[in-house]
Amino acid sequence: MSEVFDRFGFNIVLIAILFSNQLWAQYTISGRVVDVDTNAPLLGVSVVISGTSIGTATDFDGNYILTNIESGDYAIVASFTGYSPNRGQVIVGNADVTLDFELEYSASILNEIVVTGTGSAIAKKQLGNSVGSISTAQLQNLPINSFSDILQGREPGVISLPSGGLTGEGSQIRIRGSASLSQLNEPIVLIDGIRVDTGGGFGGGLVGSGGGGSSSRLDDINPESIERIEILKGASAATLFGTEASNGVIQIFTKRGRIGKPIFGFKVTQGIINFPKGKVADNTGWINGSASNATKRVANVSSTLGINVRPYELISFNALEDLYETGISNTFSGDVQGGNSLITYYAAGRYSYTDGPFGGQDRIGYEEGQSTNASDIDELTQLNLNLTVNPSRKFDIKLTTGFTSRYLTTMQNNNNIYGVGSLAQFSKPELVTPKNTTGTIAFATVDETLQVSIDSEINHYTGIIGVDYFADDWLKVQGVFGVDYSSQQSTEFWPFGYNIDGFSSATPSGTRSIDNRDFLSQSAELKVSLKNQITPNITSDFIIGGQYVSQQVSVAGASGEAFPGPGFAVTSAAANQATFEFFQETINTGVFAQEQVGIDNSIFITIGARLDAHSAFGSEFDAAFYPKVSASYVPSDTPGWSNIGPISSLQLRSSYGLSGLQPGAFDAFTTYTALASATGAGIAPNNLGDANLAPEVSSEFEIGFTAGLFDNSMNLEFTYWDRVTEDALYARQFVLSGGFRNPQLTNIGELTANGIEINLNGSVLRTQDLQLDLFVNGAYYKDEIVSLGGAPPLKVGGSYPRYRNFLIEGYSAGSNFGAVLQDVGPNQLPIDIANKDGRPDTRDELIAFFSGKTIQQNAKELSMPTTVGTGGVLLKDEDGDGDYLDHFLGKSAPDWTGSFGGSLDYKNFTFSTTFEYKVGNFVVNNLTDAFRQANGAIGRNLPRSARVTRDYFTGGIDGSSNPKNDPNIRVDALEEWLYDTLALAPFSGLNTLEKADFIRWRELSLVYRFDQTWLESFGLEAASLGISGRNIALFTSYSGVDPEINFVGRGSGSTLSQNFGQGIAAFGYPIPTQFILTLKVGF
Amino acid sequence: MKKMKTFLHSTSLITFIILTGFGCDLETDNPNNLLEDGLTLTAFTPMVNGVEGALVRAYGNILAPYSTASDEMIWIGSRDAWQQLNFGNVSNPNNEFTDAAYFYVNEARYWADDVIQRGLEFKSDPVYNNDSDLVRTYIYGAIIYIVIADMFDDFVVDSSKSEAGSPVGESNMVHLYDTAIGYLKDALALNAGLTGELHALIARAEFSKGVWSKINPVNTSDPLVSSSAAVAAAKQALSTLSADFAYLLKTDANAPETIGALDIAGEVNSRLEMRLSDEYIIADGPRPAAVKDGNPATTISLNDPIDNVPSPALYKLVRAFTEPGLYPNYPVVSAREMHLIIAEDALARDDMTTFTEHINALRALDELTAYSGQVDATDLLIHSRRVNLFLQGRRIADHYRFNQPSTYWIPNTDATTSPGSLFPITISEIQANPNIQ
Repeated sequence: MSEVFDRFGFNIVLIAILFSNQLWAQYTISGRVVDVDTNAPLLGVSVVISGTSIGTATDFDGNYILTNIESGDYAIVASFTGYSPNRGQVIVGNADVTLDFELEYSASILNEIVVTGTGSAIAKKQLGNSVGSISTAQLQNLPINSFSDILQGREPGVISLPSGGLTGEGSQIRIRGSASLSQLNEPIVLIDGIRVDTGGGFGGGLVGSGGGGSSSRLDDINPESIERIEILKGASAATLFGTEASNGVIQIFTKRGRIGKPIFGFKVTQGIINFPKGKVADNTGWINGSASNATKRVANVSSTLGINVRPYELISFNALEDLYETGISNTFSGDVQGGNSLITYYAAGRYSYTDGPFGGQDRIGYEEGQSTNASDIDELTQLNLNLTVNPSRKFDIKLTTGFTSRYLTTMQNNNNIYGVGSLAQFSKPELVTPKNTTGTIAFATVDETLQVSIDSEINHYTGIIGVDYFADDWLKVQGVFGVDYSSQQSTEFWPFGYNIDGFSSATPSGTRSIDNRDFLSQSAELKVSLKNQITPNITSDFIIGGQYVSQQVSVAGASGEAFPGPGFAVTSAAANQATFEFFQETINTGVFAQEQVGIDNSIFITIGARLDAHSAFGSEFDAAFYPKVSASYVPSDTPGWSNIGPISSLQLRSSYGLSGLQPGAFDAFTTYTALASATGAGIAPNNLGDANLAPEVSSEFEIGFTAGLFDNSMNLEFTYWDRVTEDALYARQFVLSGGFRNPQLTNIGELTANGIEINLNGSVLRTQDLQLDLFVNGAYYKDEIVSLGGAPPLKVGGSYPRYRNFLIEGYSAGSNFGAVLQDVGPNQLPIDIANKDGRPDTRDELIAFFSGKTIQQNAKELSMPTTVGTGGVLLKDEDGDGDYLDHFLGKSAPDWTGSFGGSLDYKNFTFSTTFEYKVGNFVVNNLTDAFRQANGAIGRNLPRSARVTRDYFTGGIDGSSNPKNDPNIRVDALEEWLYDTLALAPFSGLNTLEKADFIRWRELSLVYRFDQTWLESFGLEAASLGISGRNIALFTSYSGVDPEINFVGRGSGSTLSQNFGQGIAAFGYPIPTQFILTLKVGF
Repeated sequence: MKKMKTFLHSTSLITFIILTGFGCDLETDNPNNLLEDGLTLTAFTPMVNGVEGALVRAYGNILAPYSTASDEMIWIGSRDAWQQLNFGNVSNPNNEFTDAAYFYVNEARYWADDVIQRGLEFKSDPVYNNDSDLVRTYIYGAIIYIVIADMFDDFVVDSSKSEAGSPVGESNMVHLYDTAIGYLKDALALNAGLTGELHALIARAEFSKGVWSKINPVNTSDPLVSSSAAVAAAKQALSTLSADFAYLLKTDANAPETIGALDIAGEVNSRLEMRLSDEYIIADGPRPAAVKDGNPATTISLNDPIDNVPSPALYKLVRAFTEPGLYPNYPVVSAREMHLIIAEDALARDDMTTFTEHINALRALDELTAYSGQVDATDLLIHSRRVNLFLQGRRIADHYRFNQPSTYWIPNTDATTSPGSLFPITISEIQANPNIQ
């Protein structure tokens, strides 16, 4: 018998559960939901029976139906983003019941339901902390290509940082700046309660592009499948997430099915993508007529560029923009949803193909049979299937699955001597030859690096089971279990003989590297919540639960260098082979409890805590405790409330809480690494270790208010927050003479930050034909490193002097430091070449110095001065410590970030737009131009610097391009050299860091919705046609390519670089402009 | 009451499940690295190999800035801190390349000392049978001490892990050679092989002490080194080893970590940040011309002063360095250097017979005409050192003591204004070490 039960028993029970509700249910509740102002039907309104798992959403016509309802009294709640929820009461007797709703527009968010970090579903008015929320329903007209696009410019204090303009590039995400000095300042991300992969880059240790073109695993998520996003911005809100949450939490909620007939939706987009032209200065150069190779160079320029030039004449072209093309993007997506009271479904599919604006396919230097291998393509196939099973009114099971298959290819880029764009910008017209058509001076030709390709193939799966058990209307038990698995294989391939011009010396016989990264996250959460009406005026919401998260990262790579001949494209064919393998596992478990007491439905006090254990804590550490407390007071919900001026609703709130960030998996231990020698396998020091290592703890205080204005047609949120990260993990560089090169994490730092967030949005005009909605938000951010515990400062890039971002006590994290020219008197320059007396030369002294100097006799003396001190350039050293590079040159994070925009609906047309800005007191390290303006070998090829160096050398030229040897012109050129052009070591930071305030016209769309009566003749229920644009225009005084790009990309480079290297631009590509035509239909 | 019972039952169950989960095993695997308790006797040979790997990496990485600061190389790339070295700014603690190499040099020094100590402790283990490994460790330790003394004005050697030691002090740097010699003699006492190599290294260390004394302070009026200890060891080595032996630090494509981040081979042979200078080679763009054709005339610009032909010795070294690309072998000591040591000692003592004997032994290795007074003996010695010790970290000291500055040094740089300047303790150590003022 037991065997029979083993074989069939489970199935029998399951079937009984699934169909048991059929025995009870007999009737339906149905109705229609419309906008009270416009009488327009509302699609997607949530309609649920209060206190049960029974619910659905409205269709295109605003209709809903709840089936299999037993006889009884029911409270029905209809809620929709942007509207006040409406509640209706029905009595189901022995017949079907109809209940219609009219929803009134409301910008107030006080009744908006959120679940993240709260333990259970709760209205925002009950929360003492702010919770950001983004509904994709409000973004449906905008050009959204990815999850990163959804976040960009929506919520104050939440920044989606595009690292560069290459196709598929993933954004970095920051919430309220940086809470950590050493750990990656990315928030944790969940999908329907399950932790997902937030990685990026190429997955391992062997494949690299130079920083750009690296994808984000978050952009694997199908943006069409997202219903809404909730954002916890800091420690006080994220306490219940414990040890990994001090940078905030983002939870994505996917779409689910609704009860009713199947509703189909299809969307097709066609787009073009272009890099903005004119952002990159022309490559400019001149031929030194006194050099022995002058004649040869003149001939090369003539034969290669087809122009006749004279020595000393400026020659220019634009080697980078010559590589641009018009890119294309196509997207096809569709979904279907429906179901009955037993089961609802949502299924979606999306295919996206983007061939970006990087071209370089036709090159004048190519010989027969030669072609370009590098390209910029991002191709995604995404599938989603979500099921909700309601075996009974007390019980539901939610199944969520998502799968993405992705292919991404890019080229060598960014601050990389083999970057195609870098070499193009290094190029010097005077050096062109038929085999080096842009005139690179070193490393490789542009055409050679165009032979190099970098590919990634990604498969990403998320599977979640959520179970809700409504034991009673006051008791709910919830469990969610799931996995997120991603597999990424990246390949970097330099074919045999890629150096087609015979120029490059790096692995001319080719090389191939492969990285395989597997990520597995397993999450489980169980919680029980109790609602209790303690007295008629006092309510209690208690929750207790626990969470388990295990994450494993496994990386295996191989590389092969020197193929025996062309055609080989596997590592095993190469003469020199190497492998790489890495494995990391972390486990985090925690228990949490929270009690919220409500008084008169207008005062809410919450206390809670989480106790955490983590595999990364040191051996001397047991568990971490994170408490929280918050309070909310809603005077507008108290008896006798009357509007205060324009304020129609009001919440005052405050919260305080702690959350943490754990060190790396093995940071606590003294370890030794493998270091083989020619003799054999070897061992060498690796990690110094710290047995007392503990998580760093951020405590955050938050206070603010939320106000509905003008009868809740507008909503204003204001939040001030203040955060202290104590025992901050800091990567301390101990004495190198101690033998361990790697810095060691230690809990010695203290970092403070504070800010304000303001969000104003709402409807300023609302009639049946015309609605105008506007929004503006802003976030102010200020941080300071209070202490590094006596440890030395850290600099992004280590000893690499061109990155100037430091962690230094008393300054904002990532502040720039560098050289400043000595102050001089009138008629003086900060230079000491005329008399070498250690003091600034006067113009007269310099003119005298240059008088009589000719190219023929003094060529060596006429090279630009590049040394410091007596006999060279005079720099400031006010404290006399001999360090010329210790001058504060500006923050790398702006004071203010935010966005503004709105939408205008007129009859069937909707016009929407978004602008995003960063302003106030920040600079970008324009390293691209620093190289190009100053570097003696690969640079001095900006139009300005070419002219300056030419004029300094020649003393000006006459109409026939003959040198004039005019000392006045040389002094003028020297002045320009010192104050505008001189840069790089040993002058690092000088003439490099630029104010980078900007406003970017981020989004624009115009959508036309076809008349429903006309559509019905085609069997359609909805259709629209739209044209939209993304990154339309940029308004800035910054002279570099783009103030939003950085050298590091997402997931590439060190954690320090990713955290604090965001203000460094180095040969990245500008953010491209995209225009999209979109057709949507629904039936 | 029923409500409370239901709640208590539910929460008890959930709490039990959660706490059961909370108490789950948090131990995770770390297969990537070894912990301290894994460094047992069975790991001694790999530890010694690790010292070798760390030494090779350190050597390749410090040789890059050293050679760039001499006339052996010229900067042609993008990273201007190389140019600063090329100009003669050797004492800047902020120079990124000196600083980056400093990391590796310290690692090699520490790990060699540490493994030697561990080896001595292992000797008491009954199953210990690793004297040959210990000899290798002594050699690696000696080499890194010699390199540090040759290339740095000051250094810190008594730190361990996070404990900061004090600088040796500029005037005490010469004692690092004594540490090296002590290690080499301890290795000889083990009588476990490599005897000839040990004598050769002793010769080099003893002779380097003499060179050090000629540049601290610089003594251009009496630049020649005379060292009987060096000569004795050199003769022992020559009698033991082959006629043209060289002790090499070997890189290997199968041990790619040994080349480090900014090693000389990567910067010159692959990245093309520097190239060998026109003082020594004929350049074809960023590379030596026709280096593989077997003909020094197409590649070498530095001629032998007697035969007036491109130096064959230099050609061999240029070819040996450039052909393997990323993975050349680095000569640390050689038969040629033994002859140079003996010859210079003789010249310093006006013993022309011995000088001629050994300079001609050296020249015979390249089939060059024997020396019989055709040119000035000191000039010939200087030239012979240039071409036989090319890219071996000796040139800057010779620039100073023979008063022959690099053609790339410019006025107002350390090498010009303060002859004798070598690399400093770099900024990363200065910031981390409270014992450095």
